[in-house]
Amino acid sequence: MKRRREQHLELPATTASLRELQQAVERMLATAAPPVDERTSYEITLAVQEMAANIVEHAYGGSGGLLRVWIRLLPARFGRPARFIAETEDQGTPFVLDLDSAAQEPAPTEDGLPSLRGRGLYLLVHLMDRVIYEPGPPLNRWRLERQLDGAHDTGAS
Amino acid sequence: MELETREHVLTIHVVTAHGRLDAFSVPELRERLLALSTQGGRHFVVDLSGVDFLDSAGMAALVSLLKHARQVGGDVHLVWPASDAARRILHLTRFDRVFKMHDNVDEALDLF
Repeated sequence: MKRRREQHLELPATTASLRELQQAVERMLATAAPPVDERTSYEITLAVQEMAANIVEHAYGGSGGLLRVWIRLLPARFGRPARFIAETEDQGTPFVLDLDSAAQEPAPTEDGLPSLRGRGLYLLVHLMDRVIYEPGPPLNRWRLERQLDGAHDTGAS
Repeated sequence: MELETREHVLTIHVVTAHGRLDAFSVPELRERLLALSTQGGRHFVVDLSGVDFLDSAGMAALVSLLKHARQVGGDVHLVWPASDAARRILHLTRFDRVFKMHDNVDEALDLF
């Protein structure tokens, strides 16, 4: 399989594009050397999915738009471990986002059930080593980073 | 002595999902669950053993089902995904503390 270190995608901001993005991330991780384990691949793919889903639903309100995504594998070098990086740009509505709050488990609803909202950001923050969001206008930007040496601890036992 | 007997039948809908349960595929699941609920379904076992990718949209659909079921006096049990990675996500989001989790459908049905 040809090793892909970098890929740029321009996709309509629709849920159908989420599947295409998932597949692109999985294909790239499948070519990583040394190999990325299944758990890491899943968690990275999920975090990118949650980021993109946020853009589709919240930045564009489900009404379409363009989602630009750059995904990259950086090899280990100069003492830094190998990393996966995903970056996006969109021209949708920026959100007011507190990543520290997003890292806290969403509060249950009055009936004691898990909240229906907020879980995507919670997952994203816990599954990646570094999450940066820069709201626009004109462009909103996300950057996600995850080391590929298996050192990440989600906290899930 | 007077004796009365009556038959009590518990209907449990077993919904088995395969593959990816995510923002792209969740509308189909929601539609199926809505149909079952509308027909009076209150008790559900959702078999995730064949699900290899689950995201927050998929989880939200399960929570919606649980909310509805409890409102009408029912419940929802889940069967663990076979994928270890997917199981970890359920641990991370503490879904395993909200839903009764089982290793297989038979166990879920027995313990309903």
